[in-house]
Amino acid sequence: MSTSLLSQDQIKGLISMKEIVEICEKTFKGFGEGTVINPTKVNLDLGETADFPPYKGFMNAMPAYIGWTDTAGIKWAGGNLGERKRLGLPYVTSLIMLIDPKLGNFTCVLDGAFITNMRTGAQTAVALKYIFNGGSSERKSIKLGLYGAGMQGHTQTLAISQLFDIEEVRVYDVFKAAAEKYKEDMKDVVKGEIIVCDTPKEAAQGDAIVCVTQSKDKFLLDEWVKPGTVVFPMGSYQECDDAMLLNAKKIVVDHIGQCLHRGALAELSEKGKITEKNIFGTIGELAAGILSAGDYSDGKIVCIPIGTGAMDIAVASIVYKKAKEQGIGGAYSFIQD
Amino acid sequence: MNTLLLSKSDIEKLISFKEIVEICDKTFQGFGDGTTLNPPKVNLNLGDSAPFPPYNASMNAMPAYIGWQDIAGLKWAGGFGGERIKMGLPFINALILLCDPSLGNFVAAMDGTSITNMRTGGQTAAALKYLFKGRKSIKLGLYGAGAQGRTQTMAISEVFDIEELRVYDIIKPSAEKFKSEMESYVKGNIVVCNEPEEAADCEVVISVTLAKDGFIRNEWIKPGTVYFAMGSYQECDYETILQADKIIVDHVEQCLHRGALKELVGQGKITAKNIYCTIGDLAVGRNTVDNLKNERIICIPIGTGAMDVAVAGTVYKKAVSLSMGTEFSFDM
Repeated sequence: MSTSLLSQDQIKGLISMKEIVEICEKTFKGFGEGTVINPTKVNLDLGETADFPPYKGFMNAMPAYIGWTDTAGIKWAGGNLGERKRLGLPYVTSLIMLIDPKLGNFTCVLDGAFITNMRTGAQTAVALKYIFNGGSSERKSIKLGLYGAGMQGHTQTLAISQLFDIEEVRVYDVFKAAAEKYKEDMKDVVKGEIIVCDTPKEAAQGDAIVCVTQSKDKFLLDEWVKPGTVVFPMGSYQECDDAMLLNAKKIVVDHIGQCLHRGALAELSEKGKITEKNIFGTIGELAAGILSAGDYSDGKIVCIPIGTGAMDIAVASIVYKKAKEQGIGGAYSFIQD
Repeated sequence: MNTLLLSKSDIEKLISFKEIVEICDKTFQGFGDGTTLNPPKVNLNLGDSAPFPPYNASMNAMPAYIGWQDIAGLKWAGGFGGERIKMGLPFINALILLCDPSLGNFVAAMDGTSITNMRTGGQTAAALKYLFKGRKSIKLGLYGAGAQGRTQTMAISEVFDIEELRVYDIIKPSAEKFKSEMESYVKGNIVVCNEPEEAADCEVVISVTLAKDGFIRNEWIKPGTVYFAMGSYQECDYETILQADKIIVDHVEQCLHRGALKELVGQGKITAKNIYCTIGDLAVGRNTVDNLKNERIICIPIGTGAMDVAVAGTVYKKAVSLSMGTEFSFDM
């Protein structure tokens, strides 16, 4: 049986952000209903935190089964701040494999980097639909604060624009030129004004604040952010101060096991200051209508979609389906007979 | 950047059992000296032991880093007991991805089925090399005359002369077929056993079956025997394990959660404390087995991704040097 092969360029031509947002929404519902299976990812440390091997990188194996597409798959993805960064290659490296769960044959092997970037934006957009817009599909205006004007900053904005009219973005990046470029790139996506901020504090305004940085220095302070705001600390490390997490009215995550071990909550979780009990619920439970974010005008909601393999596999399965219909991609037989 | 694609037949042309045993040996040494990294595998249950989804299958993600090859990789492998078996396809399916740990790019994607089968034999042969140091020939008892029984035999024949092989299979014609096909690997006689007990009267006993009923009895295993329980489920009775003098495994966490020890671990009767050492410890000489003649040893190489990735690493290097395989650019 032959396996389809899809490159990043082919994938880009096959799927839009609009579709990815819809796929993520269905997949979050599946999480809530129990038809999405997403074991906790397993990390291979290649020197990100360990001394050996010395490559300042890691790889995460993220398997999942998606009920609504009846597909199983795995993303093997990592980041590398060593040689890869020095050569000017993108931080993320990623491949996805899909199987037909019934027959067990490998249906497709495809690039995972583009899908990772896109679904990371889409996760935020869907979370906002349920937290900020009560699950309504009616377009509402939204003001954003954005930290990190790189690739992820772009895709976050693009995804949110699928569901909301963005009436203002305040963007901060440690490299101001990156923020200026973001402003130029995103001017057609954002209805209102894009304000390039000189200091981090200036970007801490809006209905939602999204952090997509590699910062480890807890730059976003609780005191900057007004009640009634949804804060998304999306980075792999802790981007906001402890107070933001400890004072939050509600903490919403995509995957409890993963969020306690990586990203914004990892440090406080390790110290025992944040446990599963401090998590209000998951985005999946909001999407499935099991929970409601409720009124948070008197407090802040911290939402952490750390990223699940399920989103990648769901997007990949739709990409594969479309590629097959349109006759796009290569093919290879790993087993001939 | 290009990724090299390699098929099952490419792989089978590129690697021999002799090389696989050597690779397993070096990789066990890497486990022992800490240069092989192998996080516990993560399972995706597709109905193997859950009601949903209903496919009687599961997939294991097995990442590893191999110091002596300086390569990282992932095997994604599973067994499919439903539709796949009905269609007459092999139970196991697997793909292996390799990544350059320094650059993070994917250098290869290849079939993982033949590597899985071959390295499973390679692991046993390497473990026997440490346990029977200095020995030239051994007497082998084998339960399960399928593909795994063959690869066990072929791998062991690279390290020892097999002076007798006693084989038992619940389907006797399978054992007969095994006998006629494997004669060239076995110096002595291949004896097809009528009763399971007859195959246990050997210094090395291997079970490679899908049995769940603990059919191998404690009283069959005599002192001086090393018993390899290779299956995913319960092939021997509890007493065989509880009364063993030493339990040796390839990966402590994995062996506590799958295979021969799992049920006793669930009952709290076996814990990590009952494990004498790992095969990696034997490989680097940290632990030894000095009184083999009077002891009954259980060895459980449940299978690690590290072995797959290490074999795949060598296959990849050979393929590059011989310009074999097909290239594809995923990141373009």
